[in-house]
Amino acid sequence: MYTSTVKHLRHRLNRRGFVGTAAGAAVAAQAFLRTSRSALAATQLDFTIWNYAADIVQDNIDLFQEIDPEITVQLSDFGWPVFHETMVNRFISNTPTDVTYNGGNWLNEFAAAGWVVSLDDHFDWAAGYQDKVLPFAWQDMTYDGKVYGLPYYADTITFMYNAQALEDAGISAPPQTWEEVTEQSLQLKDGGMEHPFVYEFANTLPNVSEAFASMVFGRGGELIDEERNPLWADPESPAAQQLHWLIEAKNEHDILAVMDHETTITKAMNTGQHAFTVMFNYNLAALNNAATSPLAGQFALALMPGETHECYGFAKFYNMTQMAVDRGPEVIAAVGDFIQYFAGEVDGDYPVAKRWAVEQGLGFGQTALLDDPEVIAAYSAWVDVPLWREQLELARARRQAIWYGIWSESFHPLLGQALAGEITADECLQQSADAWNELKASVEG
Amino acid sequence: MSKRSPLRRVVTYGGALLLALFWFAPFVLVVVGSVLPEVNLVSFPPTWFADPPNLQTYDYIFTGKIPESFEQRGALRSMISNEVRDVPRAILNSLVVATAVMVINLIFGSLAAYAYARIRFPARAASFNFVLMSRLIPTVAIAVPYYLIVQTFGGINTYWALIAIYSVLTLPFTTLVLTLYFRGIPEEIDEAARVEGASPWRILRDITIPLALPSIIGAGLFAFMLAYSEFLFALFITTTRERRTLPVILGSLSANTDVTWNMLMASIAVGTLPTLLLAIPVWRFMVRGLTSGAVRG
Amino acid sequence: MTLSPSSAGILMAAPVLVLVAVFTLYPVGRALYQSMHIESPIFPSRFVGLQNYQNVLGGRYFTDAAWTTLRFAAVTVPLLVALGVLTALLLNESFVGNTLLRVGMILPWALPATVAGLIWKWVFLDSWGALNAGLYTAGFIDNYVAWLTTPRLAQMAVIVVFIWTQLPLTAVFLLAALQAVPAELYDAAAVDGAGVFGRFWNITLPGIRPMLVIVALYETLMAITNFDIVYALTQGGPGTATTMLTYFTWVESFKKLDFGVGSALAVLIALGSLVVILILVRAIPKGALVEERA
Repeated sequence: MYTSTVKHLRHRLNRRGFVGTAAGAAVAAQAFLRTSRSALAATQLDFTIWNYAADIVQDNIDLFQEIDPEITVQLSDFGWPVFHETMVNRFISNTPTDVTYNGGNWLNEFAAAGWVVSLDDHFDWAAGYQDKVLPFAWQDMTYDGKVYGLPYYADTITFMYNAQALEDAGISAPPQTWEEVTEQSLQLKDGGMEHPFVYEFANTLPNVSEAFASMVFGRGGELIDEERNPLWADPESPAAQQLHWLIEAKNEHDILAVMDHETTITKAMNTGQHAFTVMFNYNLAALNNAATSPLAGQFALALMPGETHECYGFAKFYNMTQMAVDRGPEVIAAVGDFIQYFAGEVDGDYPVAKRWAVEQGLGFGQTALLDDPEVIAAYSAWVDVPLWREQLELARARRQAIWYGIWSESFHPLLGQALAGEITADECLQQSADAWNELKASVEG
Repeated sequence: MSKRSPLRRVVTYGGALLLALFWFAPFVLVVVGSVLPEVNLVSFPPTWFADPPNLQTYDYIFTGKIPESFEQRGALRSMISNEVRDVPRAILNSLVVATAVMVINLIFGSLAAYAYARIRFPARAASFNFVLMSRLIPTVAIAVPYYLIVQTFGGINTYWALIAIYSVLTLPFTTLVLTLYFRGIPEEIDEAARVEGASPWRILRDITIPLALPSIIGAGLFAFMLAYSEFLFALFITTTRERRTLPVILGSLSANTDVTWNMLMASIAVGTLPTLLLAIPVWRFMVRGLTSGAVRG
Repeated sequence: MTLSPSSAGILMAAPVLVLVAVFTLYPVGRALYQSMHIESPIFPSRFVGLQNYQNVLGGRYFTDAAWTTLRFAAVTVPLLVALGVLTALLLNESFVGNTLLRVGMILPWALPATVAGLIWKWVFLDSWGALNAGLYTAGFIDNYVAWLTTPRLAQMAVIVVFIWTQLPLTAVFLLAALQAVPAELYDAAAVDGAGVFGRFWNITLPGIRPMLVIVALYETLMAITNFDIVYALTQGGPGTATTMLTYFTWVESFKKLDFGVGSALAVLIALGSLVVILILVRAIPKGALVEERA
């Protein structure tokens, strides 16, 4: 760029003669410098996401680029079931990645490996958001006392049911405990509904252990203790009880159907063949979406069954990578702008998070949106808002460990085997505890 | 052939019908599924034909026009994945890669095959066995090292990395098949040419290739189809939407939360079209060429 | 330019040799190296000798996956060969639509296997799959059948899809072999008064035996290394019902990110396939393979 500029200038100088052209040359040079400078200054950011409404993400990027034309964002999206290994591959191979979606279940691993960086280390404004974000969401974005991102969305995993189906079967209220889920399911089964409870499970699904955690939280339990020891090996633990419940529901009572993905479940629930499920809360919006769901309007939220009705709350967030830091201050600044636009306060509002909440029913971590009239109006179309608030108050993040993501890959086939009747619930509990302890030992020594 | 007994005819047509059903019914399903509204598809008891079919899914793939059922701006709407719009581009990527792999196979496969079929040189048998045995290693086993090689040479997200890998995967088979054909050509022809002073290159170019042309094209098409369909490596190596090949896009769509089944079926139908168009040349050259050669040998 | 024939041969074979060698020796060497290390992006790498192999061979999962793979091959390969012969015999008859069937059957084979898995996933899907819809409409079932979440049925589903994709090639090769059996042999047999089965047993079968062996070999390899269909259709489930060795290796390497164990598995699979192939090759009567005649 520079050489051609110089050549061009020389050329002009020669043609116009030397005297009196210095001023003209200076102007031309400046014009050239300006264009080349802005071409250089257009910082490109590589942004990786898992597939969810990628068209809306792209639209948000377009809006951001209008405001901040100096930054161009290249979006790459990957399947949710392969996101973890795809990202690990990208990090190992240094495939350019500046900002990525991340979640609490992978944060410890990615941060400990040095692939993602804390916002606190690079931006003054980061700490100021602690008071503006729901506590469970903040906890889920925190590793080793530092916050690593701002929420793309923060949500809960909740219990949903078909109110119409229950009413038709003469059941007056949704279940309060897992024993009641069994009773009501058996009653529905007598009425001809083969598998009243649909359970989202696939070997490759990253959120299996998250949904399991949510059910365990309903019973007031946790999966691991503060020293990161597995609690489920104890047969009296809520986690062990819940696992037994799942296996018995599937293999003893035959009231549970396994389906591989939330979208499948949303469709299956809309065939009227099923009455209960546990999924990411935003799926209730899809269930009750009249445009695509034949039974829209029949589905409702119930507090997570169990003694405490607590549930799992989490945040999925925008995380800056070490690769971005290595590219230098301009890129870091661009990532800062990006994260602030996508999840931070923009003119007293949170445009992107709000859009997700209003259009898709995604939860949010930004406290200000709790009382936002537009959000409340949109939510009212698919959920009983006071009840949803009640469940949100009961949401908590789970304890994390570096090897959670990897352990899940051992846990899933074990749970799958137990569901298929290949091994017992106790064997599943024991073997997945062994797998956990092995990983724990190889990390902690 | 003797006169057909009625029983034989019944068995023949019955068998043919069963086969046709087994092989083609899934494709009919794909086409039917692609034109029906998703609400009807995902029903049980099934209500597939409750509403009239439409071509909106195809319209969306090619023009980006959002189907009516998705058109609810600003409010809750069914999700639509613009990833399906990558299907035409992905077909192009697959075609580019597969064509290059085919050309490489034709050139280097013929050369090597001729050497192995006709020329004595040191370590001939050993290297031939080595080339063949290389394909016994499961691809999953070498995926990581391949990835690292490609990365070392800056090949992530490039056509050439895919082309190189697919060439490695296809060349052993091409070499084997062509070696067999070339051996099937009477050696006296070569001998005559050699006596007249023709070099191996000339014999290959002027005699062997013209004689074995259908088989060579067949072997090339075989390589083409493999490259067109490969999934695992393409999954690793292509990192942007612009470069992903058809199997990757469709595989990704299958795991995509946004995709609806009618959209998926339309994508499959569009993605199958090039294969359909290729079916006849593949049949003519590959199937006939390959089989006649193998049997004749 | 004049070259000795020997150097010309080396030159002509060189591109293929070099390419294959680079992409084989290095990866294999690397896999061997990795298989003796803890290789994970999140744990420190260290040499562990044969411990990965011990873990793999001592663990239940490897033996489970190995048995699943062997059972799969043991079911699909004979089925494919038998169905291939039947299909080839059928296609050798003249009937209306024969050409259509021959050309059309290229499709299931030529289609990317992930796509085949995807199409059939909809067929077998539990709550609103096409097969269930069809069976329900025809009055065979009142409630859907959980094809993909019942271990036996899911295994069957993988077998069906595998056969769907592989049968065309098998049939094509056997058809070609069939057509190469000299017609005079049949005429002679007819004169001798041999029946349909007699002719098949005494003439057809010996005539196509070399091709049967090739097809069986090829399909054994395909069955052992089958990955895409499982990936797209069942993801190894339910439980581990359809987790075969390659899928298992993929999970160990790319899901659990344990490249050491993954490499150890890969080495074992490579050795295993080699053994299977050698046994099969041994079983071939001398001279049956085309190469040996040249």
